[in-house]
Amino acid sequence: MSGSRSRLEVKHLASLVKLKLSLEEERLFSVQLSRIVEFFDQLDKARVDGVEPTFHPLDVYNVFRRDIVSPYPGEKLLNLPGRVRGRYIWAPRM
Amino acid sequence: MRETYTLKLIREIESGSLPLDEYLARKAEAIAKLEPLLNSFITIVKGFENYEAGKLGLLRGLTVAIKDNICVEGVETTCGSLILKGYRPSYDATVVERIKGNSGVITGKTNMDEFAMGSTTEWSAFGPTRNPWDPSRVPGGSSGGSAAAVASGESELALGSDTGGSIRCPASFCGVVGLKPTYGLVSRYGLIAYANSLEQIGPIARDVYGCALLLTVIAGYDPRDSTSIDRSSTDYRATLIDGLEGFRIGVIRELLGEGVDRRIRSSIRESIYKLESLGAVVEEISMPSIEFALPAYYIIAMAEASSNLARYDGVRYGMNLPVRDHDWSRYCEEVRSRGFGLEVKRRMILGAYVLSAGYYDRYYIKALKVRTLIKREFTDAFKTFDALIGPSMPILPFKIGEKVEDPLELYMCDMDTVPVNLAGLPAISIPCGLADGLPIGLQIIGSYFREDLILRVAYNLEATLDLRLKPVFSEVCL
Repeated sequence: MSGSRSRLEVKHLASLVKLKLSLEEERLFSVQLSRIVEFFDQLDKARVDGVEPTFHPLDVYNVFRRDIVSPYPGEKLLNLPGRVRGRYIWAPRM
Repeated sequence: MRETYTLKLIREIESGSLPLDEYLARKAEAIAKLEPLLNSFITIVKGFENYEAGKLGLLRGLTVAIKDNICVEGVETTCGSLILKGYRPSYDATVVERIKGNSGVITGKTNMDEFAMGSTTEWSAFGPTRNPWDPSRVPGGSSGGSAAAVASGESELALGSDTGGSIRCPASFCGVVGLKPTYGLVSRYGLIAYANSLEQIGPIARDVYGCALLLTVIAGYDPRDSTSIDRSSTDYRATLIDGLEGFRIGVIRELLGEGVDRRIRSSIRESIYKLESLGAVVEEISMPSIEFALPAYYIIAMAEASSNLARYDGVRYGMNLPVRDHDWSRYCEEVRSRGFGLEVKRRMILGAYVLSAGYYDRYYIKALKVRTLIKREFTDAFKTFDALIGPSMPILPFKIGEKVEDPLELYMCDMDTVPVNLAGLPAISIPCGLADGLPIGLQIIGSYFREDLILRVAYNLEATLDLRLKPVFSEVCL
């Protein structure tokens, strides 16, 4: 993530997380992100051959609840000022 | 039991020598006077001082400030971000339900770095919080508002959340006590997610007793959080027992290495002598994988953040724009680009980078393997030791604006706190001294679900040090 590629790469990465950066942000991030990635490269020194990754601090397993109907707080959830018409929420075109 | 500040207050309220309405009026006055200077709160709950005590639970009407990434029904919850401005949750977080059910009086929502991404509270969209010890300095972060509110007396107790040190760092910088619980001890239902596998909600208080009290209230199984652990409940107040005879305490060499201020090293050494005088056996221990904890932590946290923050589309909650002229994709981009601040954008982009094809194994999976090594080293250490210690922060509170231009320098501040989050362990920060009028924090780390042991070590050390800290700006100085 260095040299002339970095600015284009920053723009591409931003689009992946649905962000439109200003020119100033693009310039700033292309410098800063390269430095931060260099810092991440410190992990190259870690000896991890044969080590299993830990995705979670606990042994995570599926948790199920009993299949019982509970009241749905529809009115509360639709309390979005300026965005609700009747029982519908305004949203942009798909 | 030793009569600490919080215990004395509770006894006064119980006995009626301090009427609850008088106490609450005093708190409202402290907030009114201190808030223009400190900016600890984003939202203050109107009329909290008019609370009428019903069935008195464990908290007896003590005030509790809630970090602004924890949902309180009907009270604006912004996470320190413009993108959630105006969002009023339709439900209480489980921890908030428990506080209300125990007669805690919620004073407001405290300031924080946007989405808890920061160590100074400077990344809040609502302006920085100032340190009550020196308002030109940062209070630490990301739960800086909570720590400043407790240190100044604006609130008796507070909740913070700790993803990589966000309770312990501001507790250290503000001279208060903050505890990050074992992963799974406290429900995260109603906590707005930043990095799910790392974060926990925890208490901040002026003394160890206050921390034990609030932990007793909020800890416990919650079926609404799939990572909550079903264990029998503990009254952590009962674990505050005098004496440390037979305790074995390890000092982690790597936490006191390069980059730690000499005044902090010296203060930690003083605490070690005190622990020995209390009957504990203190020995040094080396944990070499800690060297890689900081890059591993940031890779994992940023990866989880980029995924978690995908939900903010400007439709369902918070910031919205007129929708007529946009298609879905452009609308989302527009809202997100206006609503998120610089640090959040930086972390989401880096998260996308470490998760992308070609870099996933090199960064993300490798970081998770380092996490395994760190977890193993802690597990091995706890076969010998009851608790491990080191500094909470490597440096003293610095000036507002001093490091904000250099994100990497700010990330380095977390070097002593992140190993605990990677392993999912409990840790507490307590004040252990002052240098140039600024507080220093000592970190005590425990094995899984051994909050009882670290609270006991902290309680005894607190008594022996007897610091009686009073910040420059606090309710007693009004």
